[in-house]
Amino acid sequence: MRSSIGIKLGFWLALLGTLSTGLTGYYVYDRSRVMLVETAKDKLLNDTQGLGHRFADALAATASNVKLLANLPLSTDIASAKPNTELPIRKNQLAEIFVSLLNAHPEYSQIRLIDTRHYGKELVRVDRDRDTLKVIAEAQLQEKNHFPYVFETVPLPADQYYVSEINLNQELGAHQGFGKPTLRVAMPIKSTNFTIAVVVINVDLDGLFEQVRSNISDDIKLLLSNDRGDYLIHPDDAKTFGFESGRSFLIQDDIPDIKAILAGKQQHSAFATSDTQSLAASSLAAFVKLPLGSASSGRFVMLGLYTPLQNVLVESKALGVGVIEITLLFSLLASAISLLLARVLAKPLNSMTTAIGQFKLGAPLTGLPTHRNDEIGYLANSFMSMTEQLNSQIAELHASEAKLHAILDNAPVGIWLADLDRHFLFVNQTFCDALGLPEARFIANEQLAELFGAEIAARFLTADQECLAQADQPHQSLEQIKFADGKRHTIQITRTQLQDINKETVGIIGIAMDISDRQQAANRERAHNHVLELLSKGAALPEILQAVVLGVETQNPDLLCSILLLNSEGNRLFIGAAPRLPDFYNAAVDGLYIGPGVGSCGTAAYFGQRVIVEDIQNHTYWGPFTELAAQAGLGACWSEPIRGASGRLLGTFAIYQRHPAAPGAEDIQMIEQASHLAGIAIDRSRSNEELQLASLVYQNSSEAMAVTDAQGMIINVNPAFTELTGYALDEVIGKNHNILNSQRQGEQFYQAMWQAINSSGYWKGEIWNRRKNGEIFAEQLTINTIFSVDGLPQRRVALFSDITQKKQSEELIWNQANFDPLTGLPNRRMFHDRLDQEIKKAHRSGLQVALILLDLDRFKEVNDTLGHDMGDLLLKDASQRLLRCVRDSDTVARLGGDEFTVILGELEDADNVERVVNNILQRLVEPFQLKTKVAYISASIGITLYPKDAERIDALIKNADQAMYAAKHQGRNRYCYFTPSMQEAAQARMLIAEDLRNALETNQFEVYYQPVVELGSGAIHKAEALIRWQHPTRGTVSPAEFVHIAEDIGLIAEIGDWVFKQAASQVKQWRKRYHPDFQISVNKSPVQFYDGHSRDTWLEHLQTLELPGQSIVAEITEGLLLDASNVVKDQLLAFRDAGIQVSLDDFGTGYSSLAYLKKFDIDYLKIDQSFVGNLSPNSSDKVLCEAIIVMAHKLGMKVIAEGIETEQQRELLLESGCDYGQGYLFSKPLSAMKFEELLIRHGTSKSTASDLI
Amino acid sequence: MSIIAKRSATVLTYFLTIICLATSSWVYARETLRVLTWDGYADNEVVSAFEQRFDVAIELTLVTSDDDLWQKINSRSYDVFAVNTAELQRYIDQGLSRPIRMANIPNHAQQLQRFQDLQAIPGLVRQNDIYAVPYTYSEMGLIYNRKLVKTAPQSMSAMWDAAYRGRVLAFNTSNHSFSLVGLLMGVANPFRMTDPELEQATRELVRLRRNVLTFYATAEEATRLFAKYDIALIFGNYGTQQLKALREAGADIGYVIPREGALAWLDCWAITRNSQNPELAEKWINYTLEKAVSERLTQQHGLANTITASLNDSTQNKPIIWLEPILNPLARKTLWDRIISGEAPEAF
Repeated sequence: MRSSIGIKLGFWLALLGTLSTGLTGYYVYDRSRVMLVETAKDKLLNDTQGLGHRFADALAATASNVKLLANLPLSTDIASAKPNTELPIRKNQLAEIFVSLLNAHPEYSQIRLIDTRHYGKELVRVDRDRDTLKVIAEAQLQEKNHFPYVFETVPLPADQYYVSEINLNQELGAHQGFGKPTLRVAMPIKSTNFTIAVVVINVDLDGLFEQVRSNISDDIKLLLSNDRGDYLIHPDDAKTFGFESGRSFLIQDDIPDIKAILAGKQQHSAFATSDTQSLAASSLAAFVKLPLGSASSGRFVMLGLYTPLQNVLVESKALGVGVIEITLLFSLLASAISLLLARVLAKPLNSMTTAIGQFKLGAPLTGLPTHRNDEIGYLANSFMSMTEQLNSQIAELHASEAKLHAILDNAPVGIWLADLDRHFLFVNQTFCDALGLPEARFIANEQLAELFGAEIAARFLTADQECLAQADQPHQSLEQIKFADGKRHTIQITRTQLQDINKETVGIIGIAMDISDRQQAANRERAHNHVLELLSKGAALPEILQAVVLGVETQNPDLLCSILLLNSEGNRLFIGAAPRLPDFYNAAVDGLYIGPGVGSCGTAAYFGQRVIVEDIQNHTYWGPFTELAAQAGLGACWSEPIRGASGRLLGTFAIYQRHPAAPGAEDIQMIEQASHLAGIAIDRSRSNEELQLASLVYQNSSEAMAVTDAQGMIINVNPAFTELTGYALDEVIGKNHNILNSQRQGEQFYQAMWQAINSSGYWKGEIWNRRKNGEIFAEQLTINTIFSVDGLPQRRVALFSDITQKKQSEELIWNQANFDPLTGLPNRRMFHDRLDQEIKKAHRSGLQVALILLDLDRFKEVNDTLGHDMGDLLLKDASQRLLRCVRDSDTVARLGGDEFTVILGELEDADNVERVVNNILQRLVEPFQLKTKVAYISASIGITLYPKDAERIDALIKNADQAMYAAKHQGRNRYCYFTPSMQEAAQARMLIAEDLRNALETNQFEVYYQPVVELGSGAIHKAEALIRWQHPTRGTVSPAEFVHIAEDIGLIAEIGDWVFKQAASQVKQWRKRYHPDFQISVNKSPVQFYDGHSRDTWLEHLQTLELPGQSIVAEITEGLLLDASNVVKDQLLAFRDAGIQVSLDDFGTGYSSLAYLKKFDIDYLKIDQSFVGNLSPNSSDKVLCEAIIVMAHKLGMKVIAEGIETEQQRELLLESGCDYGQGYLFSKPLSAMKFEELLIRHGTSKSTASDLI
Repeated sequence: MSIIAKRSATVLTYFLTIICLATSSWVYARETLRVLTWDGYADNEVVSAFEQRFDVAIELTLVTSDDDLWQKINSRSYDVFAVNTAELQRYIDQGLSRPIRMANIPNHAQQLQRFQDLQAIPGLVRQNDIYAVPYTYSEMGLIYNRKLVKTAPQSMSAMWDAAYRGRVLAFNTSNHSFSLVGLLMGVANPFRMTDPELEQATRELVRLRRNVLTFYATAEEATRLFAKYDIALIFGNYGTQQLKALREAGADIGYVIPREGALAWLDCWAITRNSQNPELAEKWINYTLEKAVSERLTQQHGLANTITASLNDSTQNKPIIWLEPILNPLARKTLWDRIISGEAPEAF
């Protein structure tokens, strides 16, 4: 049911009444509640303050009691009496007073008089004990000085009292206050301003509050806290004095509003609490702060009362109920009034609704309450005028529709309207006239098929449906319809949906426009464009020509066309395109020789003119072909010559008719257009073929090509160019060719090149250019110029290929031939070239050339000990150092191994040589860091000068070699200039060297033995083997003369081994014959140590001879140990393991490093003869010898003194403790035979030293 | 329906209601861990962080002396408590504590090397059961007021010095007080004093009582008294913690380890035998051994912790006497209560 206006109005009025009553009631209720709470709060605060006052009064009363006691003369007497004074009577009197006070105040639990001068000893004490009062006996009195109520009271001035903090009494004793909350009030008793005693009253807090609580009702709860907020009284016993039991319960945690009082900001406060807090929730609470004792102590307690809010609000609740009752009553009344009002209002409205319901268009409106003089009457009058207006507007609408009809009928397009069932509602006159059908036939709902035929009708239906399906845009379609004029016309039909005022589709509007002419022109245009498109795409010629032919044929389906092409000789025609002519006809015509009367085309080609044959069968040109034409069904042929752009004849274009016919103006235009198009196509196609061929060559050439304009701007490059230079076409186009410049050629080079190009247009040569990636490459370049017709350069074509590899190979070969691969220095060959050049230059300039030959000392050791890799590193480093010592123009070359040369050319001052050489020596002695190892070497340098020393290269080299040799023998790490005497010495050396090579084979060597005598006993168990060379012509050659040559030429090992073997077989004999421990020492050159073979030879040989190692002593020099490498160390260790002893020769003359004495196992020290020779008592040499001897003995070595010549020397040495001696005093070196004689002699005569001589 | 049936239905309804109320309140109540410990061992921040993390409530009770601790454990129930290694023994003896499952204390692995081997620390392990986990330690030296005491005292006997009468703060505890006197007397074992030794010590303690201002209970109380009175000497029961508190209050103090040796305590966490939630108690112990929590001991309260090595550990190279179990703690306690109550020397 619809709720009428009356009911709605009634409802809202009733609601309003109810709400206003309810809100007023609520306001009254709420105000009364607030007032009640405020009043209750004030009352509670009053109660709290009253309680506080009573508490304070009770304290004050206690204080006055304490004061009374303190001021009693009795108290002072007892307190000031001397200790141990018995005052039983007086004490009893005081106790009596205490008792009466305790009786009067049940809240007091203890009263004491305390002697503060004697550790706080209680003098009189009365306790409340189980409801009786007990005077404590003397023996049980305690000392209390250490309790705050004593030590805090003592300093107080007279008349000031002390109130303690409230805590649980933990003092032992028989009093009732033990374990109870206790407050102590105390006062000092003074004697001449000095506290002698204290009176203390203990107040039981619970008892106190029982008294002061008085009339406060039970539903009001009491809270008490100390100044920190700890509960002293709390409804929950567990929380009362929680701090005494280790728990922390604070009032400010339960009631946050309290903080202001605790902080001292307020003295009291009353408030309603929230319903969320744990204590006193939804309550009224009031708190006051109560000071304890003097204000200066700052001590206070906080007292509070709280009561639940619900207790306060009982009255307020009753008021609330009243308000609800009144509200209900009012709302009932309001509802009844509202219903009545609704009935009165609704009646006239109902009658008006009925009248309007019966209204019809055009008819006047009647039965409205227009007479009423209120809103309803106004409404009725408004309806009346509205219906009158409506009727007049409908009349105007009819007139306007007639106007529109006239316009539509006369529009130049066909227009119709159909409903959704395809019934025509309207067809305009234009459409009816075009089709020749009266409008009545459309409107009579004749079937579409009957009007347009079944095919068109079906398409109409489809188009209508599509139109209805697409709401947003008009639907367009094309249709071929035969008009009343009998022609088929192409019409474009636009359909749109016909919509009513609600945008709902109610039918279709169709508009048809005749577009036949326009479409024909478009077809022609399209055919033309198609041909041009094929041309531009570079399609094959037959395809294009076929398109030309089809274009004409499509527009005129009754025509047949052909294109014949003229051959290059210009005498025959071949089929270009004739798609619709019969094959047999085309086969017959193909290859036709042109000539007058050879059909239309043959004649047209021959004369170069259009030929029109209107009737083939009766035309002389077609005489030979009439039968063929008849067979092909051809009646007429119009032929037009095809010409190229240059006017050259290219072929013919022909149009055939099936029947004899003459061309109209349109036909002539068509034939001209077609032949022109064919001409363009043939021209273009032929030139494209030529271009493609050229481009193919260009693109596929392996030579890089670049085409530039006359100014060198790049126009085009081929793929080979891109591959070679790295530049793509679009990166270089428009750029100058010189972007490839490498700057390797100078300006002159380019000048010469351009000169050639400008004069002849051509240049060819090798050039260094730069790739895009920065790499330099060599190219073989040819540049050609293309000149324009007026002889000016138009284009330049650059052709080039990469010849870098070839160049590099050439360079590599040259480098390998001339440079040392390890150091990169010139090799011997290059050195010769340079030296040659320098000599020539010096010859011209008259200046000198210095040739320096340099050999690295001890390089072989580095190689042997650290390995060849390190050796190579050293050579590299050395060569760099050498290069840094000379000028750029000088040459440093490596001749091989560790041999270098330096050529200092064009010397103005020969002194410079010395400077350079000194520098070289200095640089080379600096340590070489070879990866992790360090090596030390030096150099020996020979210098010779051109032209002073020699003028020929080979002579200079030889000189330098000799000078270097001299430097080596002068002790290395130095240089020598070549001198003529050097040459002589060299020659002598050479001779000795040659002789040495023969000496071993020809047994020219002999081993001599010099005895080594035990100084103490004179016994001979040792000898030193010494080599002697009996040269056939030179006589005896001293070892000093030939040993170093033997070392140089590598013979020393062989000679050394020979000596060793001699000595070994000798010692074997002598051990057998003379002494089982006989021992021969053999000198061993450092060179032998580095020849690994030697060691093994010794040990094997000893084994073969079955000789123990002890039979041999190896004599070495200090120098060996000084640069001892592992090789030396290992060999010495191997000797030791085999039992071979080691003797250190010439001790004291060399480096005499004591460190190696410790490091190596040395068995004997041989004091050099230079010390022994100058030996005399008190001489420094004697001291030296003694020192050496002591030191050697301490190190576990024996000492042999060499070169003992006098008895005095022997004695002095013996005194000094020397172990053995050797020298002419005993014997010079002897041949084996003589030595044996000496032994025999010595064995028989048991000699003194002199006997030996 | 008979009257009886009706009545039993009513009873049943009440019963169900009560059950529902009881269980619902039980379901919604948070678990509570009752911790009994010393000031500074579990400050507010540490406690509330634990409460939040494990959604439990902590009921924290502080003790002020070993006597207090013994008294509390024997009168109420707790879950976990902090006790020194010596005192721990009587708790184990009396079956008041239970073994700890070290698997539940993974943070034990973080403790310093010397706290790793619990067997090596006397008193923690009994019959292969571990009863306590070390938490903090300190020695109890003598604090002196640099303004009043010009020369640093060498011995605890300075507390008896009449020159400082009424300016000495001693500590209110029975066990250390007697041990201290025992040390000064040179007894064989200050923790196992014979009756005559105790008797003599009692007299000495009465003498001490006569010389002190008072016996303090908490470090905070000592600091307050120091500020108010001219205190010359304080027995540093709380060790380094007390030093920090005093210095922060602006006191100019010195600290000495007396020549007779300072007593030292190693406080550990232990779990009570009747703990209602030993798992939670173990969680608590493990939690306090977290680096951040343990370091708070040092940073906030001046106490040593067992996780990070202290910079200047005062226990190094000084005469330190680690607490040992007291022979008869009850006897000492009884005597001490009498002493502190003020009984005259003649009474002993």
